[in-house]
Amino acid sequence: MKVQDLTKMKKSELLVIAKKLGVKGFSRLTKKELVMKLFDFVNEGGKALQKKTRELINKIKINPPRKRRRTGLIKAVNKIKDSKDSKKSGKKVESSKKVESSPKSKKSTSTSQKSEVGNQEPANTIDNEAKARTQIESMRYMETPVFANGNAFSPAELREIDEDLPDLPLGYGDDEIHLMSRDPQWMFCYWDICDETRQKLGKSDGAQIYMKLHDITNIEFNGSNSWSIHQFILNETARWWYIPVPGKGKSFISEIGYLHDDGSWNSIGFSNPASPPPGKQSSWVHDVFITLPFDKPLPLFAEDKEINWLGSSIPSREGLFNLPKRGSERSPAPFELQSDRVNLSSPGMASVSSYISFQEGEKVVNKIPFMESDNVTFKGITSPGTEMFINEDKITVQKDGSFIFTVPFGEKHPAHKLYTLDDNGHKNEWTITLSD
Amino acid sequence: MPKGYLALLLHAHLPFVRHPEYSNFLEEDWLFEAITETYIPLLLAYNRMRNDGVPFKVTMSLTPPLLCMLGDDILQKRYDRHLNKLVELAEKEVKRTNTNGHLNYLAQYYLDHFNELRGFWNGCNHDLISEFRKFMEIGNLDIITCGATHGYLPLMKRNPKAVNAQIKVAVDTHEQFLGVKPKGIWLPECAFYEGLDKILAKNGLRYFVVDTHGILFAHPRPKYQNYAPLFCNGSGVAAFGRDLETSVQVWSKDSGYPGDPDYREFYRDIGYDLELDYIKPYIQPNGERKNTGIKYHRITGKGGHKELYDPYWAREKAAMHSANFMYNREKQIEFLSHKMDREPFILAPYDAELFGHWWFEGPQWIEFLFRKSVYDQNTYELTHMRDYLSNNPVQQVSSPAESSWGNAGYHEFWLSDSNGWIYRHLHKAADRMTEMANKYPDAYDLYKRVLDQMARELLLAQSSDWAFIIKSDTMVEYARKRTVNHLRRFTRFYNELQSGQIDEDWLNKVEAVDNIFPQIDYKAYL
Repeated sequence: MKVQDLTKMKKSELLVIAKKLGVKGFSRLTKKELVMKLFDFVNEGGKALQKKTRELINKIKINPPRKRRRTGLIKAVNKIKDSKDSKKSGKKVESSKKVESSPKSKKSTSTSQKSEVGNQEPANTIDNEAKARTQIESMRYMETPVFANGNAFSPAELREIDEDLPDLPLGYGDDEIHLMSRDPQWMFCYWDICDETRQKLGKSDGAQIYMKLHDITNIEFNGSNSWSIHQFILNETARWWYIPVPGKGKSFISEIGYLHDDGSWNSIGFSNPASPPPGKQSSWVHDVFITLPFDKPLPLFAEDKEINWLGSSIPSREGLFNLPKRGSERSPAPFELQSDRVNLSSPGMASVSSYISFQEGEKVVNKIPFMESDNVTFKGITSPGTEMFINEDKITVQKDGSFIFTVPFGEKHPAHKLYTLDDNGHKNEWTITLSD
Repeated sequence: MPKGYLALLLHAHLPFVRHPEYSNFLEEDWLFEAITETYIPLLLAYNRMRNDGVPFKVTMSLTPPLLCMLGDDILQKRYDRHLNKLVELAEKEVKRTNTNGHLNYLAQYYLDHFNELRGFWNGCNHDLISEFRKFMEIGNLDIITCGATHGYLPLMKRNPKAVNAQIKVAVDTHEQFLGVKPKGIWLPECAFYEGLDKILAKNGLRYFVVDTHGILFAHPRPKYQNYAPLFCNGSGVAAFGRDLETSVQVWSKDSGYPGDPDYREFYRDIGYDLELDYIKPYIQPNGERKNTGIKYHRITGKGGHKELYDPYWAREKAAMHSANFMYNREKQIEFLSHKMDREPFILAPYDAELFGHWWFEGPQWIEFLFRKSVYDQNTYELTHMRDYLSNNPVQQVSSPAESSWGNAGYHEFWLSDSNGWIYRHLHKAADRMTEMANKYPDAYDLYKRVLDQMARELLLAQSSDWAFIIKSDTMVEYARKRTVNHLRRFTRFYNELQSGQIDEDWLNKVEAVDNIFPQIDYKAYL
């Protein structure tokens, strides 16, 4: 490519080329600087870039860039016509460029298409009255210009705004893993793992990509202390997955990684935590009523601070039930109960007359509506390795930490004692009582 | 003293569809049909009741996109053109049908009806928002807001700033058009997640609606089920639950009122029935048929055979159905009031466009229901959520459960095989938006315009309507394009900000096309 190829062009055209080629910092240069910069850029860029530039130059010769927007109805009308004509003839004719500068050729564009395309019709004397009349007449057949923020646009040019925009990418390659709840039964996870990461962590060794779903209910998760892990084998090409929710009222984090033949695990990363909706009535019964006058603004509050408002307060859940998270500095929650009981009673009713309450010393830590009269079965999960005792009888705790036990309730059996012993010999005690 | 309360809520929403770049655009008909069939008929009913001194109470959510469209000059002009053509068609129909007594009677009925609508439209200077506002100011109407573009908030919660922008822009837009800040919000698709209430509180909102199970599954368990609101634990915003019983009677395809044989049949429109040469000026410019709004048949029965419509019969039926609805509410509230130690509150929310557009006689039904409720019974009182909260400041504290009023009660309709792909792009764009807002926290002039336009593009891409349309498998291509093109425009602006090379010419054009939220401020993302 020669320098002359570029110097022949207008600055506005050069700017378009610079922009399309992705030349940096061109906007403040003079034409001369711009030519040199472009010339160097193209020559350094190799043959492919030179070819592309030549194509761009040719394209611009055929379709000179539009001047900056103009205001005013008549001009907009001209533009409408311009773009219409260019559509019809397939390419833009040189004359339309002159329209903007010379009143003579303006007439030719706005009066008849024929004279414009060929530009051969002999010029007549200028008849201003006829010109205006024709212009107004022709407006009837044109699309109404759109006025916005002091600009007038032809609908045709507004239709073009998306023309040069690239498609959305398939992904963004940022190694993100995102977990979303869809409903109580299903979660949806998408990920965006770039090939480099995949190769590095296992794809090149032929390892299998897996998703691990960690149950992190009530846990300060450190990457390995989850209650349980569910594994799903993934396709290398998959970019999202539906995951069945194992158990209600729990929280999860998903992890993606490669499992190697020797059993070693290369983790790619973890998702955000997600807690699917409960999908059932809460077993927690705790009626707290407060007063919030509508004509007074709501108190603004810190995340975990109690609100005091005209003598009443909104208690935080942690304040009501002191359930420290496993893995946190406070003593761990040694087990978690899973209640499947769903009870749709009528509102505010008496059908729930008594409760089974779990007490740690004097403090009630959990309350479950009691509806059966004799034996009550409790299911739950604890850390694997924990021992549990009910009334000094050992409860069988499965390998994964799950347990189930049944105790009688009634006048003869108003209370039971439950305690757990964890790996470190730490003991936690509760009483389970029947209460109103 | 009433035994309970009934609050009717009409959710008026349409996605932002405005295409100045085309002189005719089929999807703009959504707005025009809603104005003709729902919004003006409702306003006419409100006017009649006000003139008769009926102290009715109804809550409406006028969503920000709807407000922006109703206030838009181009769309007002186009509606004017649309309405004039409709009157013209009805006039022609009166002439065409002069040999058939029944048809001619119907054609005349439509002509009168459209002329009444046009009288109202011109009488209010094309400003429907001010008409709604009048009823708000005298207390008949409580107007609440919605997400800025009806974005599906639980699927957006990854970036709380994006959720906040949906709420903040909505509150600001509401104030710009209606002169007051909203106190309540209809969550888009009734979709809630725990923690959203705090964002609502931050933006001055005091109450919202969740679906029935959002309240029933709250924790702790709600003492009064969904017959009293809950104060959200940690924020104090009130959550009202949708009542299922009232909903089924109106919504249900089979057992609901709108399926009655006497009511007008939606699917028999002269746009499809009449000869092409005759109807051509009133359908799509390319000759494809579409609904005109003139329909001569009644539902009749399940088969294809349709009898001619009779407006008098249909009106009688609407009166009967409103009496039935009232009777059922009386029974429901009496039953509940025995079981509760306070007055039950029944919330009956519906899509506004159901009334009039799908169910032609719906606005009549509403008017009958209000008149009867006021004069023909003493069991319950019509109220607004805001009035109820003013009079009942003591409520239970609990956390409503994540839920929506969509299919199966959760998010599956908006997160499925057909539309699940959009979220990675929407999430990325939301992150980029907050990134750029933080990078230029005090932008002005050109940079501010770019950032504001980016916010508009992101918000428009987030409309739950697109995901909904893609899933429901009608007009898929349009909805897909809307999602993708707003994101592509957004991405170009993002790249321009990164490179520092802003194409003002292009910005001008995009501003002219996506002109929703004239006064938006991107700082909503800070």
